[in-house]
Amino acid sequence: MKRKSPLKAYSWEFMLVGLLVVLWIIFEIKDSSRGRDVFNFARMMSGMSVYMLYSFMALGMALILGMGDIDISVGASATLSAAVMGVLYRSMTSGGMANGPAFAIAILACLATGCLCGFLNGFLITRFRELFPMIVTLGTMLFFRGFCYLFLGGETLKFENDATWALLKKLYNGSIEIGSVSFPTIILWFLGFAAVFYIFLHKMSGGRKLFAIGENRISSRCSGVNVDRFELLMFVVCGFMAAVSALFYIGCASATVRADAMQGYEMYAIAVAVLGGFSTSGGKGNIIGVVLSVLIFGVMKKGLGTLFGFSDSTVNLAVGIVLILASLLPNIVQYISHKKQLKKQQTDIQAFPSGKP
Amino acid sequence: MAEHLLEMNHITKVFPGTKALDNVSFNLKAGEIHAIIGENGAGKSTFIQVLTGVFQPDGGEIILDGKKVVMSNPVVAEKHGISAIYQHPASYPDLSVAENIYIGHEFKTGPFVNWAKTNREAQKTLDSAGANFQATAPVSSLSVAQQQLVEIAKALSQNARILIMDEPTAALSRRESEELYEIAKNLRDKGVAIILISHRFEDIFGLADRVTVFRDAHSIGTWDIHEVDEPTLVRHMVGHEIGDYFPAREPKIGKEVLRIENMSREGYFRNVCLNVHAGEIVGVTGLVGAGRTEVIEALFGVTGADSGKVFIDGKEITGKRSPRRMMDLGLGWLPEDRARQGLHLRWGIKQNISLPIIDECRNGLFIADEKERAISEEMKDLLSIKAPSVETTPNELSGGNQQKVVIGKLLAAKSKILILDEPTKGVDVGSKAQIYRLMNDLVSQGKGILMISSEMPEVMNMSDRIYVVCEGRITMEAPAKQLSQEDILKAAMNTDSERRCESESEKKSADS
Repeated sequence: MKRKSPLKAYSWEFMLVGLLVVLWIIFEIKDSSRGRDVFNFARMMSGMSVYMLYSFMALGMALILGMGDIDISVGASATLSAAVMGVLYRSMTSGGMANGPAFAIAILACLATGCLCGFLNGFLITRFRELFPMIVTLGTMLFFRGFCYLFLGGETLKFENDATWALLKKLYNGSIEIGSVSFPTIILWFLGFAAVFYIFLHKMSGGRKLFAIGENRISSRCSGVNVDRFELLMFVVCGFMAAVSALFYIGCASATVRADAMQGYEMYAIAVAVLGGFSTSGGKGNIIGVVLSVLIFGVMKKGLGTLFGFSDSTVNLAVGIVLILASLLPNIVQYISHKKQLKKQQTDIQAFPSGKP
Repeated sequence: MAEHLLEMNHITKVFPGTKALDNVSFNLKAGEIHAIIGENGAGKSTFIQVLTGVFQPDGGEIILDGKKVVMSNPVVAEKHGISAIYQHPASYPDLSVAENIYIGHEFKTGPFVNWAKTNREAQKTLDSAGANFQATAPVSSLSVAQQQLVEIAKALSQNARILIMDEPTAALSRRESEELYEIAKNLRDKGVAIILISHRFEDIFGLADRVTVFRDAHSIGTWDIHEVDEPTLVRHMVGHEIGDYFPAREPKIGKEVLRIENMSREGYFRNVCLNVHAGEIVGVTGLVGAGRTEVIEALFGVTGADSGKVFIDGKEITGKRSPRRMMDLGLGWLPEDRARQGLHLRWGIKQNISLPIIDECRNGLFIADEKERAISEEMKDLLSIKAPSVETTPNELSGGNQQKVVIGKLLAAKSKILILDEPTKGVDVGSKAQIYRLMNDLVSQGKGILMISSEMPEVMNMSDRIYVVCEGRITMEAPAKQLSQEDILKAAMNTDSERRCESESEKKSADS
């Protein structure tokens, strides 16, 4: 929070840009060595959609990590939101309701379910401070996922031929031509949400309170921040973002809803937010970093997949390595400067000639 | 045998940019308690670290038993019989006392620890130091004073001849401090030399044989304790007259601004009644752990109270209390533990001061940096916070300046009633005097102050009225002028009596 030179204040973001550039160069070289042009900006953008699904969750997760909390139930919250939407829609239409209004209500129900999941997490965490957020949300994750199976069983709800549900497919598959590049609308949605989150976190008093809580929860409370209420609200927002992810996911899965969808998405969301600069200990981070981090994940997955022929699951190997290395970087820098200091002290001691007692 | 057990001559230590010690000389006799006092940053800590081998001096010599020695690292210093104990004992709470004392050099039979012998020897050392607890007890079950005794026993088990006590009583209540005094005197009589570092004059006059004053990296002088008095020492410490250490004030007591009626919390405090008037400083004292801080936490709604009423400006505050709500009602709170409760240590002074009023530091929806800056600059000037800029983080500031930042938060929030919990804890003499003057200024502007303090001189000299708390109950209330130190101590340890408070309704029925 100290005013520093921009280079220092945004050192993490510069590091991410550097990482992105390095990846891009490696892929360009590989691409041109194969004599083909499959890796370029336009193709990259059009292939990004599938890697954007968890980006909305990552924005919500950034809020939670910024307060020093964690929420590993977002994947299950998203699936539950989708399940509620599907089940509600089916029962409303089979009850004779017109498709349009039923769909609108179902979408609202989806978003409300996400909020409710977040509310439950936030309530438990702020009410029972002796519980770790990790354990609370592990519990709710299992609970939400269990609910999905209770609603759906092993069944897949299919709305592929429903004209109203095609809206979700369009939401996910649509693109906007800007110059010669077609940008998927999902990227624009993400950037829109990211802008709102950026303003909230870095320009408004809410963001200040959020980082204050992450830095020192007790002192924040004594300084008049309504910690419990604020924290609860942020969990609700996180749940809402999970439900937003769910809407895009339904579009991606050609308007189907299954109980085992979006497994492990919470881990991607956490990974993206952490690489973006939101550490699990709270108090710091920048939304610009999260945007860059989403791009890095997308570029890596896309590049390693199409150029090196790795399957999506194998690519995770590389993603994991990058995540760990990037997270270690500050520690490594610190370690080196500490070593330097020790060495200096050593020479100081040697400079002092010693006699024997 | 040489006259002095330890002589340190012309010690100089230079850090990049500053001279931490400049030609400092110091000596120590066997069987004496030698106090070192000085403001924060005067070089006391560096001096001790040179003696214990943490730092190497850039000049000067250390002579032990008449022989020149080099403390090349802390282990060497320990071998020479020099041990230090600190304000917060660094022990292992889940291990037993004996394990803590002999950790790293347990008595062994083959590869196994000989627990019987370790425990027996530990008990012997403890008894010789005057302990009243068992060597097999877990350290977590002991009081802070007892834990310090464990540290002392640890030092004795390593045959310490020179014991350094760095602010040993800062975390102790009065009773515990007195226990520690006895232990220290006992050790002295056995021939151990003790270097005592303390901000508390009570420690120094109660314990020390000689005193050395440090100021600005120099040792100003050494005196026998009966040659000097407190004002003289203070003058040497700050280098000039402080004027009135406790400035005089003509109290202009106004109407009641805060009243707590019969507040109780099971297991912590019972039937607490107190009130504060505009223009009044009310002192609340008692032993540490008597429940004073808990009452304040309940007042601010951090913890609940089982029963009780709160009135501000004569109006009852009903419903749930929270720090935010109480602040909006005009209460400001300086918590006891400023690092944990009062400050965001890694944030700038500016962000710290603006946090309680961040919703007012806005232009429309967005935080207005110029408003934050204006209010924090104003507070920095008003409170004369010594810092390069308002971007400086409190963890780079001295205790006194950190405390001023917290006070700045209360003033920025325009609090009318200030609750100050140990306002001068860990604050050096110069800043203390500034804080006292500031408190006087604030009450003369019509604010009310409720000051919780364990420091007797502060309570006696600053307060208009004093409440004494013992085991969660108020045992005495009286104007400060009518009380002596003995009265207060008696009330602080009076576990039998309880002062009943009369609520307004009871008063009326008594009148009729």
